[in-house]
Amino acid sequence: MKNNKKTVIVPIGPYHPLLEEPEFFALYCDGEKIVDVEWQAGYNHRGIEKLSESKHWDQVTFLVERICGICSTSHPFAYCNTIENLIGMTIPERAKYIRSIIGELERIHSHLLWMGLAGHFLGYNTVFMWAWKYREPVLDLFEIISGNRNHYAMFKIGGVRRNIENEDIPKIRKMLAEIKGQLEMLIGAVLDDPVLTARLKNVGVLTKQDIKNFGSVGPVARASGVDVDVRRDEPYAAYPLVEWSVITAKNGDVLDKAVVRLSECLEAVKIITQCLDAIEGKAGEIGEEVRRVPEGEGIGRHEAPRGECFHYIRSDGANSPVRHKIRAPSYTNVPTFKASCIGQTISDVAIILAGVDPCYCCTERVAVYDAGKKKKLYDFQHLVELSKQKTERIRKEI
Amino acid sequence: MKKPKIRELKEAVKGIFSRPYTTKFPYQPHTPPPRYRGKPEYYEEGCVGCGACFQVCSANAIDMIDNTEKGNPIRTLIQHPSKCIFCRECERNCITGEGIKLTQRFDIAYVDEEDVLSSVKHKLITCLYCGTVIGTEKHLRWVLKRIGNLGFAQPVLLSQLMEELQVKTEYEEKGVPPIQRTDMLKVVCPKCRRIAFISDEKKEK
Ligand code: SF4
Ligand code: SF4
Repeated sequence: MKNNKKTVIVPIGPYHPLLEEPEFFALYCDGEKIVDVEWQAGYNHRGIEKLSESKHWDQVTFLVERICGICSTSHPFAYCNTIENLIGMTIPERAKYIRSIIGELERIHSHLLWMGLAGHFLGYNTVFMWAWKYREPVLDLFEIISGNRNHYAMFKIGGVRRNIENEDIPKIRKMLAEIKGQLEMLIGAVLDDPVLTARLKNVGVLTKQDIKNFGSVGPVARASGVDVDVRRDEPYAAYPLVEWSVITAKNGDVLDKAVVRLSECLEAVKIITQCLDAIEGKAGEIGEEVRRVPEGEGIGRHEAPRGECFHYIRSDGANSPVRHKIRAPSYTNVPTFKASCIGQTISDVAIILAGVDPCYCCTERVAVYDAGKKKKLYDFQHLVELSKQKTERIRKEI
Repeated sequence: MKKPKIRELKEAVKGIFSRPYTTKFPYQPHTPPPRYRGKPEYYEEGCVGCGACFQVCSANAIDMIDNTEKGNPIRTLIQHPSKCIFCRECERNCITGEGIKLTQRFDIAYVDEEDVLSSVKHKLITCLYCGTVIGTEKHLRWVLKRIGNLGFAQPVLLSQLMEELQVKTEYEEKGVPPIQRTDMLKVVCPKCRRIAFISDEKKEK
């Protein structure tokens, strides 16, 4: 982008230790309007793929679990699918259901976290407080089931590490019913709200073509009407065994992304309930012992809360992977900023960037620079402030 | 300004009259759920010092230090909670199932790391000639117990058993020179031939 006199560059990023994928954005602005976006990734390389080559098969599950803190079960899920694909094995029925339960619980907590943050960026702190309050029982459920609120360490090649005990199931059901009620309340409150609708409708629109161009996945793609979901398209775990539907929307704006995410939470509750029905009162193996991983290649996928998570493994029959390739969903979702931000105003940028659900903490370092004077105009606080002011303005108008 | 709906009002009113969601910790103790994965602890009685936990730990949170100084070789296993990821693999892979267990303890912030470390010490058995570590005494005896009579086929295990039963060889008791492997070519009964096999390594004593 050629800088003319009027254009102002807003650099965002790149470093923030809390972000799974630190990235750098430069927003080129003409007054309030954004005329171009540039983004770069690849900072803060942690070398997880290389590290995985020095751990043995079983230890890699714990390593990949630590790629992301919010969707911490997605990577072990995809990794175990990969190895099982490589070996060509199927896992016991009960393990399948437990895997799906964990995967879906995680989806609920991740989407609620996103909703809370989105509310916060819009200056809607009630949404933030409520969403995070209702996320808390989900984490408590995790603690009861797996022994930790995050990093559940439930996945193992060939099954799961820990059982969901039959005596715990009534308690889980009760908590789940409560969570469902709260979710319905929150969804109603968010989607009926005229201010939120005015604020999010037609903001950061991604068309079907944009999605295809960028190869986006997950709720971002589904919000634009691209009907992709690994859980249905390439069934694994217990997903083909239960009734559920893929949620899609048409417009591809931030409101639709919220609709898709929130409705997915309810679908997740549906899946979990059916899985609990299937395992309740029954005994069964929760895992097969895998002693050796043969020579070969495998791929595995999992529909993480943010989209398709992909793993590739090559093995030479020894103790650890020879090559381990990981592609997380944000990698394809983040570049869509190039399509969604252009033509929008600076005050909408915070929510558009958040709409994709990257780990958003990175943008703490946003600063607006005047290209000519090299003077700092805005930092991220200001952007959020601008965003809040706009919400306030709309609130008064309605 | 748009009016809120009953639904939100209900939630707001509920919010006003309910307790804060947060707990009173640290003024009131916190009890984690039964399956909580907290700080791992070694149990002296259960641990035999095999080092399996050290090998499976994916975070390298367990140190195994073999001190083979002359006279008193010691193996020390130390668990560092600051490196631990609480995966429970050490507990799952512990050969006795009793040696290391995850506790419910979650407050592991420390000023002095010594306060939170958990460790065990075991006597090591080393090769009489070169000093190579063979295993801990307790581990060898544990193996012996598990494999029963098969242990008699293994000189190291057998010598452990003899020590445990306080059995002394004839040589040790009376000073009669022991039967040696070279004696196998002489006319010997099957019993003595077996002894020749087993006691051969004591010949240099
Ligand atoms: S719980 Fe896991 S990380 Fe911690 S010491 Fe045991 S094996 Fe190592
Ligand atoms: S007995 Fe258990 S705790 Fe002790 S060293 Fe072996 S594996 Fe570790």
